[in-house]
Amino acid sequence: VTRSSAKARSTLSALRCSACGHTTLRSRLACGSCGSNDLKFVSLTGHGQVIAVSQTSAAGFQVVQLELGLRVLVVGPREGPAVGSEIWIELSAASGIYTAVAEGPR
Amino acid sequence: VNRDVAIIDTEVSPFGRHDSHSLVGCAAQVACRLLARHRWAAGRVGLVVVGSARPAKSDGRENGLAQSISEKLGLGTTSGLDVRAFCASGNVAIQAAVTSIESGRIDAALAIGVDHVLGGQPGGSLVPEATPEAGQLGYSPPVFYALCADRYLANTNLPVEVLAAVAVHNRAHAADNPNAAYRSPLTLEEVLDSRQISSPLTKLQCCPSADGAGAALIVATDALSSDPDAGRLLMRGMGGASNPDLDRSPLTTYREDVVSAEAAFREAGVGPSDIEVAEVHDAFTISQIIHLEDVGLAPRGEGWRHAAELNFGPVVNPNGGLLSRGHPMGATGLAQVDSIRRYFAAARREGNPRWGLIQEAGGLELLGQMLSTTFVVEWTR
Repeated sequence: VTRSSAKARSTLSALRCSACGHTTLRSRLACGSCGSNDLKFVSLTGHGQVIAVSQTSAAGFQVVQLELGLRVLVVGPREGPAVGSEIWIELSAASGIYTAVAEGPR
Repeated sequence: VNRDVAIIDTEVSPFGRHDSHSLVGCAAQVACRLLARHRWAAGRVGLVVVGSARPAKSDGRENGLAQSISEKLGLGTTSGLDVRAFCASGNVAIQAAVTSIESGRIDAALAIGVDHVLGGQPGGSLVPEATPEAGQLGYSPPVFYALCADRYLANTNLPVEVLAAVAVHNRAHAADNPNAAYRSPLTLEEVLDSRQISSPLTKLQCCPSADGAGAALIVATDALSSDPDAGRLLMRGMGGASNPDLDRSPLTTYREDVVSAEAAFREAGVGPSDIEVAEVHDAFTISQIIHLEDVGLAPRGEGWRHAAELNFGPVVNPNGGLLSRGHPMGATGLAQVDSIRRYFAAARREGNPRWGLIQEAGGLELLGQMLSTTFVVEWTR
């Protein structure tokens, strides 16, 4: 994907509890905060900032802070984006694979 | 039923590579040595609980470890229970044994922990149990804890040397532990210059895998008929918690640690300032630092000081921790209890009360551990 297309389409599906508003990216049958079963799918902007990085001999790993305090793990090449970089994440409908595009220092 | 429960004795095998024993054989040998010192207890053991994280992968054993070990020990019709709780399998086995005795159903139990990951059938590298897809991309326990370390150092503005100091400190404690896999002292330079596993963690900041077993004899004190002058660990508080929010991981604290420790202290009726010695889960240097802060044994941002400064807080990991002993996952909880018991038994200073803490975490998801356990114990003679 190009950077501009990723920015335009960067959305993630999340579950929001109708009772308390708690939101999660994880598959759940009941709210982890209040226990309600009334969960609804919502879209989140898949935009965030890298808050931690680590590098192995094979790959680079980043923890990305999204909105609402949600965090995701991004796996990419060595020498990936540094702490503070901005990231856009989108789900490819065709492949079912999430793609992350970063902007910032390596 | 409200009764006091005591760990009256423990036994641990050397940790390392065990090619000549099966998983069951290794566990049975250790338990046999323990029971040989307490023949009165063998007939009163009402439950054998065996914690093991990977018996199916190493030895093709899905079920029935407790029954097979009981049979080897000649424990007849004694009931058995197998526990799988990742790195905390041994701790959860102890928890189950203590709870059964507290309930009044039985008077004595044998808790055993064992794993056989090196000498058994090769099971491949450890990957997060619940996320095999990420494991295929190279995600593994060192990566998660390295991300935690990166965040911790950024938050505190501390140098990487504070991580390395944990490995140096724990290795110094292993010098007198004949069962530890690694006992020779380390320097900061050796730790930092060792091969990078997942930045900023180097090889000597990651605990080595190992084979090994441990066992503990646990009894109700009202049924106790052992030497009344022998020391024992009274189980005063137990806590256990799961990770509630795997997609909100702060990385520098684990909520399940905090909840588990608070529950254990509440039940024991004491606080972190009462603790004289602690065993915490140092699978990686950073994990020791964060666990110490989470259980309240160090202020936030200061969990590194136990290793870097003399006389800061309680004694931590007195026989070397996982970083030196090695980490046969199921056996680690038993080795932790053994370490605390030996520490108190060997200490010349007397006085009451004398409190210890045992903390262990286990399991790995994408951005967090899956569970944590805490014991608060009181040493009495």
